[in-house]
Amino acid sequence: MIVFEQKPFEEILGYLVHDEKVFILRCKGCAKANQAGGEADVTEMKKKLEGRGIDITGSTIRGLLCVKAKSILSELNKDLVNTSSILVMACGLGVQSLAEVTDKVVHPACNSMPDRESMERGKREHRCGTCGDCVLEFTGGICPLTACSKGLLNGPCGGTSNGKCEVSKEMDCGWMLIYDRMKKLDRLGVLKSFLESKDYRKMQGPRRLIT
Amino acid sequence: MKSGSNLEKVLESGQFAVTAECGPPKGTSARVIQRKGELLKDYCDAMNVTDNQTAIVRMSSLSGCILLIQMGIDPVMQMVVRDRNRIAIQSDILGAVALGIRNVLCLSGDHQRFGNHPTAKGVYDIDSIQLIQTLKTMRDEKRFLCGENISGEVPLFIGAAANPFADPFEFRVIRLAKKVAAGADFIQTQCVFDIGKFGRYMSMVRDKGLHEKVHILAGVTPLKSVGMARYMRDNVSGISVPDEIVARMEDAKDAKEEGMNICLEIIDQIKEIEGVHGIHIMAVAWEDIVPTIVNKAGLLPRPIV
Ligand code: SF4
Ligand code: SF4
Repeated sequence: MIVFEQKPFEEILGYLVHDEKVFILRCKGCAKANQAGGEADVTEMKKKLEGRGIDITGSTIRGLLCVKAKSILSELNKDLVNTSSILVMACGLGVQSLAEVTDKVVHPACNSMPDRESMERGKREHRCGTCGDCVLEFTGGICPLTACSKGLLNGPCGGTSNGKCEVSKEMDCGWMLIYDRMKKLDRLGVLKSFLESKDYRKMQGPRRLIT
Repeated sequence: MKSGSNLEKVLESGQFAVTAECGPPKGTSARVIQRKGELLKDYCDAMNVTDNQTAIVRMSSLSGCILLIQMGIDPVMQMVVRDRNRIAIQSDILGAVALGIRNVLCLSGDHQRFGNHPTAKGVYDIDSIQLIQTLKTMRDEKRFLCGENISGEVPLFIGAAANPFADPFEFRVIRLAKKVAAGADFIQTQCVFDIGKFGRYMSMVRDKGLHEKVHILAGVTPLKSVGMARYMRDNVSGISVPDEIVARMEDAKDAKEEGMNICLEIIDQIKEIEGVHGIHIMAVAWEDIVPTIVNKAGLLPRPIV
């Protein structure tokens, strides 16, 4: 899941200097965090832009822009006739999905980032970096790529101190977690084996996955 | 001989080696390196040139090494995996060898978040142990990591770091063994202040017979001030400075002299530990003291091999 937050207003305004007529499209979002306040966001954006002399031809909030961009666009066709560009309040995926199906200029109004909340311990989604060559067998079921700040496969580095990572005293050293767990399991011997350098092709981003 | 470097010759001849450290400037002046070179030339067997230490941008280690070679000094090129992927690393090694560099120290590198470009993307394509293995493959099999052949020889003396003071203590020797198995020829340790702990570490090293497979150089750092002692105790992760050393610095009339005396005492004790083949002096921002320390420690003249 991707979380998005609105860019600074002045930055958005900068995108629109050459656009006479702008339509605002806001994605309903895929999670609670993004759904809240959609109406108010749009109303405020409209008001602020009009206050700075931008002609807003219309606005709407639609669900799941990333998967429904095409049908959403055909429903909006009439409203878009007189519009030179679309300001999209959505995550990077939503903006790209829309750009794929329209010839109008599409402006992103938001920054997208990983969902930190779900990265917290106990929430699973971001604890796997989908590297394509899982080493959990050798690391006690704790991923060194995501739990170590340097993604070391043969850790811990010399910076670990009192169980914390050299990067921050607030952060557990992933390799200490691995060590402690292996010790508890009486499997420390496994940590003697050397893990080879990774085939990072298997971990490439979307450029490689979408064919 | 694997590389024929001066450091390798000294160690292989069974003599107690001394290495020193040179931090390159945050600028373009060759003089900074040359001055440190002139100062330390006769007082060490090889000089490490740090690689953007603490993730602060400085003149590259490779170029610092070349400046030292031009002065007849045997350099140890430090190389961190933080800033280079396997392509850049191997390419730099080829160039380094072509220019006469023989000793390379393989390191993870301090995390980029510490430095003056905390917004940088860390590379960490391979880790420090994989780097050792890469260099060994390049030297012994004349092959790149990918398996393709290298033209020409790759004479290298492969170094690695060890931190006997970082957690988990019991695992540090296992990790050292991994480095030795991967191909490390020499080790430079984190600076030793807690000699008791270092002694325990070394006895575990001997139990595993590692002292016969690798040359261990114990790191030492002269403390220049009380502030430095406290700072290293409280803020530098992976360094252990016992309270009694800090107290000695606090009580001393002349902190600098006391710092040097502590350093000399530590060197004396290190010399007695079986399996330690030398010292690595990291006199951060106090290079001037190194000749005195080497002299007073009875380590002069440096051998000609
Ligand atoms: S090793 Fe790779 S596949 Fe396994 S948990 Fe870590 S990132 Fe995911
Ligand atoms: S301190 Fe631990 S988590 Fe942090 S970089 Fe080193 S090994 Fe990784």
